[in-house]
Amino acid sequence: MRLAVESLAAHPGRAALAVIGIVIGIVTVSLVATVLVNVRNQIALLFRELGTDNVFAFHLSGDPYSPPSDEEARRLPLERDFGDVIVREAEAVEAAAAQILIPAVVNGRALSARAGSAVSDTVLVEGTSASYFDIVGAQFAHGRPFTQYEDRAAARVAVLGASLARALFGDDAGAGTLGREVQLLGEPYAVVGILQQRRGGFFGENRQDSVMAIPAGTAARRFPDADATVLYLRALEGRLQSARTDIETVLRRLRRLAPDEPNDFNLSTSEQIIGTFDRVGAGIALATVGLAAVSLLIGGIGIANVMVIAVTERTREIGVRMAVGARRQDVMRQFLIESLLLSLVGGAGGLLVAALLTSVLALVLPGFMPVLPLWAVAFGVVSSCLTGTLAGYLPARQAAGMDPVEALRHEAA
Amino acid sequence: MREAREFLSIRDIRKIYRVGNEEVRALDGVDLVVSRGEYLAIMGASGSGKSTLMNLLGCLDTPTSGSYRLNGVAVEGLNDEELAAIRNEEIGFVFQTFNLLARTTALRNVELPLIYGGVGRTERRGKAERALERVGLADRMKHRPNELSGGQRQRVAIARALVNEPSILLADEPTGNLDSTTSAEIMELFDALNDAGNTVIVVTHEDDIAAHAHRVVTLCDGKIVSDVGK
Repeated sequence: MRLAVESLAAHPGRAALAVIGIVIGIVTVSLVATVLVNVRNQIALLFRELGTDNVFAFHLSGDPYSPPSDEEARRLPLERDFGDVIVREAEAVEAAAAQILIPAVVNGRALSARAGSAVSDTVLVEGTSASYFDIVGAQFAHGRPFTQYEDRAAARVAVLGASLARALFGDDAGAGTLGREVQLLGEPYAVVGILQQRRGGFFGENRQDSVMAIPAGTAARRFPDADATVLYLRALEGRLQSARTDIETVLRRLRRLAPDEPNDFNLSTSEQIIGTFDRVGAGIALATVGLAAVSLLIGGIGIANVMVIAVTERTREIGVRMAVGARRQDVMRQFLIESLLLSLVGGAGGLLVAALLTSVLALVLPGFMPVLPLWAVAFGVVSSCLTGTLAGYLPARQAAGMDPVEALRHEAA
Repeated sequence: MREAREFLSIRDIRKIYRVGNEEVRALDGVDLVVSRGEYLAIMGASGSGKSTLMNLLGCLDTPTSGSYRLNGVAVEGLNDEELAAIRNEEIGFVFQTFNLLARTTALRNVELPLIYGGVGRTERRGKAERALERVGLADRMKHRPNELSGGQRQRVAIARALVNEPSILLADEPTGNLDSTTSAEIMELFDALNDAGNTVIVVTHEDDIAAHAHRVVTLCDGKIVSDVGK
């Protein structure tokens, strides 16, 4: 063991070159693992913030902001008063909210919000029912949600996300901002509420923070072409599954679907969306491990190469060891330990580099946590052990199989 | 009575190599009996077969035919693992080029046979220290080979050969890489070890080295041509 350390320390440069493949492989896996864990946590937070007791209903599957498939494009959007029908008829549903998604481009003009000289092009305009903020658990920093009256009367009022409020009114946007005007397509809207910053998000970004919410009735009047509507249906506590079944039944009837027709809408919950991501994440992790296997193979070849050189260089030493009584298995074990040690150094180095890189990422990206999942660490240790043993096997066998007389006669390199 | 004394005996040993189509008879029917406590020199020109004989005596190699008994054991029938054990327990090698492990201390070098013999750490350390004291290197134990003179290195090698208290000390041209003064010192060490009861076999081509031995066996073309005692 000590001899193995000494002989590796004798050629640090060569050892470093040999293990670089292993280092790269382990770093790859560890980094992807860390990023996956972070994205997953963010997504989980993002959707749980929208309510773990909520069922989301939309006429398309997938992201509401992505273009639909050809088949789904023929589906009609859900109507916002479906929510009221569902609350009335589905026993397990206690409340409903509607959210009308306004496209970022209206009549060929990109939507922008302005207040005085400040302009925001990244504004996300949506029409929401009065109950929306309560159902998705949005917290108000200042002001209040819409009233039923404002919704019915199509009042020009707005609730602003935290980022948008800062963009339009500066860092001191606050209670004093309430009542001030925001221009949208040349029309003024009075600010009645400002939301708190959302906690979840992709690396500190959450689209909900750039939102400019106007009453659903207002949206229906001002943007008659925007018809994509998401329904948020809050189940009674612990009744999520039965709520889901009820909602499906009611929606099928509202959509006049024959018993043999498939649903022309999509229901999902935050846990389901997180679950979908977990499946995607597992696929990515598996692909990364496959990729890392290539670097590990290269690392293994590097180690095998170093071991072959070491065995050749130390032929005479092997002869001496045999002369003083080393059995073939002793020689074999010695070189296997060296090879194992070499690859473990590579594995440890890889984990160290990965830990360093994730710490740096954590400094640069807000909300990024420098955690290394256990499975990535286990992968690093196990795969480097395996690589070391496999790569060292043939050189070690070559050493153990030497004829002591020939080995002693070997000229020192 | 005679059987008890001849603890090393080889009978009609042959070692034949094939080089291409040619047959090389490195040893061609050698008989040799050595008693415990003898001081033997094996002489001969290069190519006479003395290195082959030494490898066979040291159990590094096995003969093509013939028998070799060492301390009551028929060596010719042993497998690799048993040969390794015999080398570890019965033979102490001293080489012309010292053959120390370069990166390790004198003490660790001397401990090496004990490691393979399965001796525990504390006992190993004590035995190795005593062996180094016997060759006069009590103050050089922590030195590495490159910090030692040629004569000191060969003393470390002798200590390594002695540490397991082997049946035979087998020295192959032990002074071949040393100047004459140092050579004399090393040979005095062998003389003293023989006086203390160790069986010593020195392979050499130098007459003045062979003169230290009490019996000189001369090889030529794979056969013993003379066997002279003093």
